[in-house]
Amino acid sequence: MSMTREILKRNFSNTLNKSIRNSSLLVINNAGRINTCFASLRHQSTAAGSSTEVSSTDAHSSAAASLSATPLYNIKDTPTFQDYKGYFKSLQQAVVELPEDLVSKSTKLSTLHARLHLPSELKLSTLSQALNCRSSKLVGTLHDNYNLSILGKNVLIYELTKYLNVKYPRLPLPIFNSCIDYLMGTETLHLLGKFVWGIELEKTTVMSRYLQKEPIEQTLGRLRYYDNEVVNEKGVELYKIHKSNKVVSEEAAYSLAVKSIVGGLHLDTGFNTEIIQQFIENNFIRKIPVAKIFQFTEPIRELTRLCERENLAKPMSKLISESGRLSKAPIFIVGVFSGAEKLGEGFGSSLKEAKTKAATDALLKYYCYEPVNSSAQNENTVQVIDKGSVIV
Amino acid sequence: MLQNISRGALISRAGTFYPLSNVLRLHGSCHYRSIATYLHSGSRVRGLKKNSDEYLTVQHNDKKLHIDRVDLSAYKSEIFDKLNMNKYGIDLDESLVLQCLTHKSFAHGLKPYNEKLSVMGYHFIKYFAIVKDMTKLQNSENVNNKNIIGSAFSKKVLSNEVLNKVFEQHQLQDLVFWKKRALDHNEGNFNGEFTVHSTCLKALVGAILLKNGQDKTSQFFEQEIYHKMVQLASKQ
Repeated sequence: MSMTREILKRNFSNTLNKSIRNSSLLVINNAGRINTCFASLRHQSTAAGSSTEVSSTDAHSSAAASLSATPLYNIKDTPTFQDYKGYFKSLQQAVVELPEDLVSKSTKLSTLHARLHLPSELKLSTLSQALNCRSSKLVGTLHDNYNLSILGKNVLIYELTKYLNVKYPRLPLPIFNSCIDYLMGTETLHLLGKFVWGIELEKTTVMSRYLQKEPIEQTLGRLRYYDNEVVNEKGVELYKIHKSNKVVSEEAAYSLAVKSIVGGLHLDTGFNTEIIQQFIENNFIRKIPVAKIFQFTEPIRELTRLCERENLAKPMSKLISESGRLSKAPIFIVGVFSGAEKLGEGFGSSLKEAKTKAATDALLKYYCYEPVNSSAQNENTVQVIDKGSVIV
Repeated sequence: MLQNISRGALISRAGTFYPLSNVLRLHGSCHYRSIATYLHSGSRVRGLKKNSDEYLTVQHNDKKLHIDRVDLSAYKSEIFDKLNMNKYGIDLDESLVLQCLTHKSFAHGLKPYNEKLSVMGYHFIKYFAIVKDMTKLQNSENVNNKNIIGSAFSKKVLSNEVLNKVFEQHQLQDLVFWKKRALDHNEGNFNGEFTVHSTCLKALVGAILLKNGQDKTSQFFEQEIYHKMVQLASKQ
């Protein structure tokens, strides 16, 4: 068995060498696994293209040189290779065609479907397609999650924009964008997909799965985002295996998968807005610490401009109370008023600090305003339309 | 800055005469003192306050529009007629229509402007376009149509250039309040017309969406705007 494995590894390295061409080398690490090494080794193809020269002092380079110098078996003639090839083909076919009988056997897909409380309209085959990134080499461009991820991204951003416009109608655009990023940024979706939804990664190579005789339907419920023909190991980076297939990070892959599931749900439910709104509300909407995102450079000036635009009386700061003016730790409480109406209040160890904090408080109260019935976002109309933030 | 008042004019320290007819505001109600604020017209002079009439007015060819003196009902009905909005039962406030066609560059943001509305509108347009593409993709057997999502053509349909052309087809460009980069340059996109006009169109869609709901907006957008966008993009 170990001999067969060794032969397969050598021949596998040969086929990979052809595909990687001049940009990489294969080395065998201490654990005996085949890895690609790009950074530390230089690889030069000879004119004939059959043998390679390696120049490096690294210990791995000698292993690679000895590997390339060893005469290779013709893998195509061995029955083991034919068997492996058949396994690979059937795997590829399963991922591309996603037959319902095979998909329904996948326990991981079924549990993911149930865990997310997805409606029955969302087919398991669509869910499996959503876990198939374009960067994985296994399927062609027509059967990956590219289209679904674009649809999901647009649906998500549209619904979340509508939600934020209803919930916080007066947010300035940079804050608004930060909120969108907070709700559906790559990092957020990565954490959501990995730790909340529990999507698993397909980490093992096709070779390992073949050797373990793993059933093909097992892979359908896992996220595939890199070329699973070679092992993905910490410290070994793959890139430019194919020009068309960009290698994406794990975070980006999770993000794409989450967006694709949203897209797939919207597609399979016939673009039903109620279902998708409910799903987004359950999974994506959470409390945003909006006030913490703000940072004002000139709050007093900005408040003056705001009052001018809103046709309010010019804001005036008034000392409300103070304590220990002559001590080393005085406290001043200042309120900012527009006419008789108090807009904000702030405290500080100096009058200037208290005045600035009062203006900031007033601005935050304006920008973070939430209409009373903001939760009723399904209604057709919104109460408040933003006039735009003040330009100072 | 202003040194003295004599012979019906203000004289600055630099010796420039400013006519008293420009002194528009009187501040302070104390019986013993009144302060006059000179409002300056023309080129910028440091320290002088600008005459608001100047920056609140926009000039389109020979037509001048002052944002505070616009007949709002006539303004709204003109836009509604040009976009056939009455046909779809759309209702918008007059002030909101004016806000949709006021760009952020106008009057240094002193008047309500369309930035956030345009963001809402743009996300709706993108959503609408992708749903259309996906529907087409589902119904199509042609393999070549499988790659329409995210293609160069679908990006072109949503481009500022195409949206600007749709906006100009409806002849709405003379109703926009914005500040040009340079008044004497009108050729091409030097002043950023594409962006400003497309922003206004997106803002109109966003305002309709927020005030009238998705169904009415989809009907209006598909009939009046989207098919023109596709036509224009395919011509380019």
